[in-house]
Amino acid sequence: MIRLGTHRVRPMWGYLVLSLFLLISAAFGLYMGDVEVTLDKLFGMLMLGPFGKTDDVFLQSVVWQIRFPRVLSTIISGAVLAASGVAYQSVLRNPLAEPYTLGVASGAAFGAACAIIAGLPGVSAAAFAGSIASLFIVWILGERKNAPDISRIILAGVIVGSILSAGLTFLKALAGDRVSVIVIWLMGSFSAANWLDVFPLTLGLFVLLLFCASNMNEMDIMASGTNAASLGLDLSTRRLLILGSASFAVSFVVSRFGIIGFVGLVIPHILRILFGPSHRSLIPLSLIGGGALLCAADTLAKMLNEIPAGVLTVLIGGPVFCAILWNRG
Amino acid sequence: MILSIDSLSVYLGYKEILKGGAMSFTANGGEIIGILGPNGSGKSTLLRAISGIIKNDAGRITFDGKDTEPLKTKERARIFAHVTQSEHFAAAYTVLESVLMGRYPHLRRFENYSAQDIEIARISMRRLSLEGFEKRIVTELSGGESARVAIARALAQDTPVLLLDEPTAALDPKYSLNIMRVARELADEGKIVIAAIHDMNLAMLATDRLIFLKEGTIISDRASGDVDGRILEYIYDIPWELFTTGTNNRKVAFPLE
Repeated sequence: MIRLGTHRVRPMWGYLVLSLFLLISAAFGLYMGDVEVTLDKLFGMLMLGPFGKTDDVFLQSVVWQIRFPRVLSTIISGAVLAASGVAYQSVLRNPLAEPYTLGVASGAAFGAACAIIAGLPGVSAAAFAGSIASLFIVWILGERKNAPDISRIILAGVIVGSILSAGLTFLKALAGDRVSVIVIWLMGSFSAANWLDVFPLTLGLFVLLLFCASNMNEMDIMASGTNAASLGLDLSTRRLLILGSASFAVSFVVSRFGIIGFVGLVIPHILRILFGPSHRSLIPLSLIGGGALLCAADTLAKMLNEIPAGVLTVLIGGPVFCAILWNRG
Repeated sequence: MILSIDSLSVYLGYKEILKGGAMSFTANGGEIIGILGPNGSGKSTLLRAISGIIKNDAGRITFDGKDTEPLKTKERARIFAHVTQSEHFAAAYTVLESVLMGRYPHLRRFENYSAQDIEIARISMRRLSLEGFEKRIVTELSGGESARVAIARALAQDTPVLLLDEPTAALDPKYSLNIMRVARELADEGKIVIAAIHDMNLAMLATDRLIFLKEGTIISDRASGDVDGRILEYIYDIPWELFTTGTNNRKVAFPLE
């Protein structure tokens, strides 16, 4: 991992600041949009609930059917991506690891492209199937020897990812005028998020919390660099559990909203630099921080004529990361 | 407390690293056993097979009459603490956090380290003169300091058997003796300490028994006082000279050209 200064910020400050950031981002996400709404009307609609009786049914549906699920989707997606990033970097003990290291993203992209070219309706379902399939192949390849060598898994992920990228390029070449559909899908967007997206996302988040985020002591030991087996850790089982559940959760995000970079790679680094590597604070902080960042980025994206949120996450977060890296050198 | 190694055989590929025919010994509570032998003789492999980091292909390891093979990894880590040769710190945990990880095998699922665990970690740190290091970041320690942290973590594991793979390789003479004194304290508490050591003089000074390995075979298993030039020459393929020091009748050995 990155070498750090000796001084850690107390996690309490992180919880405070990031929660505030999350609240503000969510509020802006609900407030901003094509339909103008005053603050007290927005507040009234939120109090009223999605099924309350009102004469302004239009505004009610804007707030409850469009903006609310979108804000929720971004928060859950960001939380899933950032916490998975923490898990990936710790388990694979590699600072370049991120939720897409085991081929989840390239698998999703390939699956989506296949569905788009074939003209099938379930693009998200195909993307989900693609990401799970590639994860499966990477795992089989990487763990074949049952050796505790993590670079094998990473290598398997890189190679399967490369093959799928080449496959994607091949499909794009064949796609003709449908290529624009593929490109737009790849850029990713939350603009069409609805309640039907929130449920699978919540399931993903739940799986992540249960099987990945609960392994905090285990991830500490794996990240520390010691021989985990001599401390009583069943490495291959834990790895499968942690990375499998994280990837499962990420698959839901990627297959519906495209490949959103940066959140899963750099949020964990920023938090680790500031608050230290202990997963007891790192995991909850990444859940809050990732949710807040992606929600803010998507709100900004919405204001800037629906440019892809994934572009903004990098544009906002990149410089912040550079600044922290510079100060903490 | 009895640790019994019976015809232990380990293959790496087609090569038998530990030759089961002559790989048996018994260790009793209260003993410090030194494992000696040239590079590649199987010292580390023996320790790794005992702690279960690698699987043995034949033979049995029993602790107090119970086969350790079917034990879960966590159960095994409550019997064996193992400081391997490749301990390094990859992430910026504090010394206390790192030593606390030694308490992991005693945790139940979803349980967090208790105040008692922290106390045990602190005692282990004190035994290795690591007071005042609690909040230091492990990636910023010197080689000798990190070696002591790794040993403190193994002590925190509080196991009846402690396996040390060249624990003093990175340490200066003062801390080497410190480690061996801690090993003696543990043995006096009735524990078993097995250490692979390269420093012949430290081994003769600080252990009760020496097991000499060559090419995966136990050549000799004798009291540390009974070392002579013949066995050393046979093991290391070079002649040795042994002296007895004037001050405390300690035996010392020097390899000759």
